[in-house]
Amino acid sequence: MARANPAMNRKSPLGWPFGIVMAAFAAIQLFPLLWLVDYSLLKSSQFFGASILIWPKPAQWANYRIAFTAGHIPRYLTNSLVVAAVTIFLTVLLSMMTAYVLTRMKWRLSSFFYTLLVVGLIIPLHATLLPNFFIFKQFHLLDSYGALILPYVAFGLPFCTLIFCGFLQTVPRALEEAAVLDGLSVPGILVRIMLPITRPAIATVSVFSFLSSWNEFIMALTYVRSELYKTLPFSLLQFTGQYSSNYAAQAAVMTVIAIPSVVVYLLFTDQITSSISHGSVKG
Amino acid sequence: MKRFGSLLLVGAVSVSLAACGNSGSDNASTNGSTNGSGNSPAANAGDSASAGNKPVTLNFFSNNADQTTGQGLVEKQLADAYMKENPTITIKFESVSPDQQYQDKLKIYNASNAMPDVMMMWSLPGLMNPLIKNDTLMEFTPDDVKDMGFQPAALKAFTSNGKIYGLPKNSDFLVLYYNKKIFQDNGLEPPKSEAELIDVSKKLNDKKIVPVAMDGRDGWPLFLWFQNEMQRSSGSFQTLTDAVYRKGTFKDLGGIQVAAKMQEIVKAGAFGEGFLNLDYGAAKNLFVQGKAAMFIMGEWEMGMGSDPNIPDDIRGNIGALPIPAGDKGANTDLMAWFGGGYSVNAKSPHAQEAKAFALWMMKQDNWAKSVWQSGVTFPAQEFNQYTTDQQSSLQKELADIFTNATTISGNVATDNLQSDDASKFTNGIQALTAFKYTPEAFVDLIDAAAEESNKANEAAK
Amino acid sequence: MHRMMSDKRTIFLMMAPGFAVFFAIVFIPVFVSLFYSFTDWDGISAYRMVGLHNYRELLLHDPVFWKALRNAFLLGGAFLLIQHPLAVATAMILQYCGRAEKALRTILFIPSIISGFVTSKMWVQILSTQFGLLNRLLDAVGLSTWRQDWLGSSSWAIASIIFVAMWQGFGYAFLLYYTGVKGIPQDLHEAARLDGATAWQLNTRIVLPLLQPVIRTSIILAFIAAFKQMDTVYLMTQGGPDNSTQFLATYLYQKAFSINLYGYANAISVLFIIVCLLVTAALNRMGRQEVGEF
Repeated sequence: MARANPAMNRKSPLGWPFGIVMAAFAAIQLFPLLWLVDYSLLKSSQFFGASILIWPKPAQWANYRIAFTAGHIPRYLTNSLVVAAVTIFLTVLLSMMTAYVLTRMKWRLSSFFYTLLVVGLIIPLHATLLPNFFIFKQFHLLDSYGALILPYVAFGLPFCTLIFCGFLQTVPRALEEAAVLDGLSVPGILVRIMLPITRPAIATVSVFSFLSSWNEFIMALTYVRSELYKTLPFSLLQFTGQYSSNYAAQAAVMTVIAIPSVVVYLLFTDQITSSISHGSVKG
Repeated sequence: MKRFGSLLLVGAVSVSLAACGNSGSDNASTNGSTNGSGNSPAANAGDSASAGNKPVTLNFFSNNADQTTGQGLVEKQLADAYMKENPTITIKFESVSPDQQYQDKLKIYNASNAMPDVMMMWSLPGLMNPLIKNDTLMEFTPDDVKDMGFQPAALKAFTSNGKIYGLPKNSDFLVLYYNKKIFQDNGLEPPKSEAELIDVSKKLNDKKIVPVAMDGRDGWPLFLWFQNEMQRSSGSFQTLTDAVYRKGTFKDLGGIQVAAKMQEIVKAGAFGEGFLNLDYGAAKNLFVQGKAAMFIMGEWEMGMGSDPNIPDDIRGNIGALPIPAGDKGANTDLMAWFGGGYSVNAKSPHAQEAKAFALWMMKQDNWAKSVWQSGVTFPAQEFNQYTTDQQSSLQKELADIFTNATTISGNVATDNLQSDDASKFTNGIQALTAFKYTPEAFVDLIDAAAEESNKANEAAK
Repeated sequence: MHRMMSDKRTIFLMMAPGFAVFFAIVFIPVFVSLFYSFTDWDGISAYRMVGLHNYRELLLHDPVFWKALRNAFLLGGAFLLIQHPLAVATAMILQYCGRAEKALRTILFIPSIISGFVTSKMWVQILSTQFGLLNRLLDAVGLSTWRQDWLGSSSWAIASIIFVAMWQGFGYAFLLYYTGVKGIPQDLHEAARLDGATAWQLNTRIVLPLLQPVIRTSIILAFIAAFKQMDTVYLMTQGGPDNSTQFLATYLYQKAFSINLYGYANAISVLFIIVCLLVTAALNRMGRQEVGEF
């Protein structure tokens, strides 16, 4: 398969007006990032001013210095990375296995467990804070990476499993039938056949679980109390006292939180298309 | 019965988590103190003599996340000084902010027996009473606090059934900050009465300046304003208390006129447009950016006078006014209350050490002197002897308002409302000032809420 | 094939790890919630069992609960009728953007990447009555009469919240469909092209039907997201003014923590789960009828 995208060879059926619409759309979506970076370079006193974007002159790089030192960014960033990496790995692994069993394998309770997952999706996080605090305390899990990773995986699982399920339903079964004839076992099918085919879904799930663990705050606030395990959103807290606020340092911290997200998204988003151009999906 | 929930949980998950539990417990014993009373040796609880040479870690739970300025800085400096004097004591801070989040976490700690040793506390019955009932809060005897210079009313706020459960840390009162330059430039006089306020508001609105920046979104500033208006209209703070304790109804005690007056002030554009969705930060910023001429808020904002984040030409021009007089209430009648303080966990194995530290920290020469001289807040103790010529003019103007007050509201009666009913009040005031309720409908609503609260409080006794 | 695909041991081994975590952390707390929903616990002191009292109060005497429910349905409806059709269309159109495709699909997702904290603050500033960008823009183009108190008046506040929530969640909806579109085998495209199908025919007759499973999942997810809506509302209006933008999750949170009615809040969360279940079941049934197996 030489050309990846069939559409690319075609002339757009809609022409330039449509190009303008898309450009405007893109500008609106890009705006918050621009806004954030702009504000991270202003003085606090320039906030809430008359115009929505203010050219920072001179740029207040000191905001970042304050964010890094007073906001403990190096340590919290490391913690966030560890938590996110383990969360992504576990979420992808567990949700893929679960989804495969639920969509492909035949057993009586399959639809029951599927329903349970959907129910799990519904459960409001705030109802679980207090009970989970009890559980974690009983098992001495409070104030550890586990106190963050376990709930992140648990709350991500239903959503990510459903994404895999949705995706697997679009994958023809013919491939696996051939693999079974070739003598592959179920784990073999997962690794050899499903892993490459589901790369777009894996990328999607990874992005979801990354973002949810990266920006998550309320559980971290509840389950973690020592410096050792605090994650990035705690940096924000250093500057959001109720009665006095260093808005500029706040914006700098938020930029520091946002940039890795954009980078990670860029990395994963490549996977979404590359698996297609490699031609692994051939029915 | 209360343990039922956690027992159920423990049974159900013990199988799946048994492995984690083992590795986790090692972890817990190394920083055992962070896990509260559970696994520390309880033998020397209350035995402060023997603890003198044993290292003790005290957990200090604070609502000041930022330890580089304000009360957070004072807390840290005092804790550092104490650790220097007492090498066996280590004080570990945990801070959660904003206040709502702090209180949420405090409740979670309490529910799971993981309370810190020393904690920030509000003298709100809704927050304090359950903790007192639970025997969680350490009692301070009158002897403990006798030479500390506390204002009697402040201690009273933390007193329940004759026992003191917290050391008050600040005196709060409601004022009107104003931008002197805006008033001068527009040839206006600072308002002394409500009639003048309405007049000034109209003139400022014509010049596209917001008259008074009001945090209408959070509810409590509106609520304070309402309580103040009850006094301004009737001439006594007692009126509100009577209505809350059902010695009369809001309707009979002039509530309708108060509500109508509030609508009149809003209609005159005193708070500008859209104030119901201004939160604290946004309201304050309208003022410190020079877009609003006045800002209604507590004395704790006196730091504005020296905050480098505020543009120079505004910072130097901030003054403070008493809330304008009404038909009967004078502007020397001051809404003042004692909100914040520190409490000690009575159940902690280090309760005595924690108490000793709290008492030391709140000594007049420590807390009161530090916060006053650094211009952070008004202590709940005598502070006049600490005034130097370093104090900003804003600080002095505020001190004048405080010392010139002829009557003081003391802790407001509405603190005794059940929290659910208090939120009905707040929502009602929002609806009233949005002209969704008539004054009559509003008064019916708050009468019903106060009635309900009163019944619940009676039943609880 | 069939025997291997129903091997109990494999099924157990693959399901157990995920469900163990899931049960321990998501499911068991629900039973705890259920238990507390029959009490009058305030989160601090001892409590009494009050039977169905909380439920009776909620269903019969709590207009805010019904308002929160109505808002959830409004938001869900907006997701279903506005956000998702747009997202499907965008996912399809993006294939025709040539070189801009990659840049666009990243940019479109950016609002979802940035924490809700940031985007909510930004919208509050844009929608601010007196100094907000939107009202100043309206002034500038001579439409001053269109100015509104976007977040301060009850009716506009809910409309504004729905708009911002749709904007914020657009990236997620879009990404799901985009993944779906990209997952469709190339052969089908090629075959269709050889048959002389236009892009319109290709997308409506082949891509859209193949997207059905994704659409069904996404719509259920969207409805659940509408019900769980929390951050945007909390940061933009806190459910106000006068509860006009209250959602189930914000109401639950407020009751549990700010107002100390933990038992009552748990009754909200139980009802919340039940309502969500009903809606999900209904959506599932509607969706399933249109989908065929491969």
